[in-house]
Amino acid sequence: MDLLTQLQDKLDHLFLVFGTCIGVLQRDAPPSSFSEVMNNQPPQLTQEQLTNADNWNSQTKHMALQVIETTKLIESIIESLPGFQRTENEQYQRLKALNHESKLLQQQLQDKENENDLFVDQSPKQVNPLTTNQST
Amino acid sequence: MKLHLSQKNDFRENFDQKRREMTENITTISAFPPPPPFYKLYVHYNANTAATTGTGGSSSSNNSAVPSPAMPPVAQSSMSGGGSGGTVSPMLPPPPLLPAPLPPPLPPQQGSTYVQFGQNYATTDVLPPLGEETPQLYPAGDIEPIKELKKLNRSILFNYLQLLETLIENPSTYKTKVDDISLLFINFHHLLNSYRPHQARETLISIMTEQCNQKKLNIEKLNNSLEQAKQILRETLNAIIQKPIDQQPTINNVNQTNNNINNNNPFSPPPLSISSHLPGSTTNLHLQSSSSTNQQQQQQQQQQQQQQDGCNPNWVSNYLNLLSEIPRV
Repeated sequence: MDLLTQLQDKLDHLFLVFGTCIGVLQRDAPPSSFSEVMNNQPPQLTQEQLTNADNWNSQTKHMALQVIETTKLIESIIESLPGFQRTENEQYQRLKALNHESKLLQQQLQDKENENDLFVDQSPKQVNPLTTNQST
Repeated sequence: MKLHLSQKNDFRENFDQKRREMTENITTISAFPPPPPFYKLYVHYNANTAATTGTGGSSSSNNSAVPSPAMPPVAQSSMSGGGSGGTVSPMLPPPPLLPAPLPPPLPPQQGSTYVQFGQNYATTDVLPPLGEETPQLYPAGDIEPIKELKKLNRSILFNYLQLLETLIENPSTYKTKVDDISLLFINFHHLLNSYRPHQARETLISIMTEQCNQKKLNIEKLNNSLEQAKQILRETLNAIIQKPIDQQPTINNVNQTNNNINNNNPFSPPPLSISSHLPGSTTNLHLQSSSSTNQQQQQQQQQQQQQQDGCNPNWVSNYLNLLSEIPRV
């Protein structure tokens, strides 16, 4: 797949990751405790709640990692894009020159093939006297 | 049981009625589906129907039938022959009147539009601009595409972080940030799409360069092969010319060597019949003296399977001349 198509696919993937992350955050984020918000005191959590909090933290880190990785991948693909050195006019001139060269080479190839065919046709005719009984 | 006359008449009337109904049904119901309508694009349908039905006759009618201009000349001549009164050969049946198809329409001109499957398409493929509602964030004209793409990428990430902050602090104002991110994505895609023609041209350049290189390689290979073949033949023929007559193979020598060969190799070809007398050509074969005995023995081994009866050296020199005369490109 060409680089531009890969770039477009990665961009679409990034958009999807954005939407997924925000959706998961809105749906699954644990509620804040009043003591933490009002009194700035750390919440008193049970063991199960602590486990869920750890899982949630790892999940958010994983989502953030996905966003960062996709962005970096897009940047690396952008850097690997081939050079845009030629302008449009230069490209057209290059195409014309290549077309002309291709036609010349095709003609040369055809001439060489004709020469080979001539050689192949005439060789047996000349070598056949060697293989037949001839009285001179 | 014999039928009464009235019963017979009733039966006949019923039969006739049923036959009429059947024929009526046949005219209304077609055994095959109608052809697709685009066949009319290729046939002067109206002219043919006017020719066949408007004049009230079949194709065999004499003077009133007017051949359609789309009809092939064979059909027209057969019709005119029929019209002139019996000049058509009675042995040959008249050719079927197949109307010639119309020539296909010309391709659309550059810059015009054409209809394909009910939709209008333009002949020139131009990327449409973003539009008035979608502003272009990168500068117009000559730009450095890689730099602009990187800028857009980083802007997208930054705006996403801002969206998250907005959702935390002021969730009701999320829409503006979402619109900003959408705008950035649209601009990114538009910039990528604008480089598709450039990509196509670069791809074409690389393909044509590869084709030219391949053709050069093929020419080189053909040249080398031809030169090798000519060289081999030249060496062989030179060896034939240079070998003195007394060292050329005779029947005894050849048969002996052939027996040796056959004893050693069961798949060797059958021995060749060579006459020891080379009339009128002995002096011509002493063209050059051989350089060494080893070379002569090698040449003799190479030529043991050649028939040298009635060898005319003139054709050898002719052939060598021909090799040099073959035009080289």
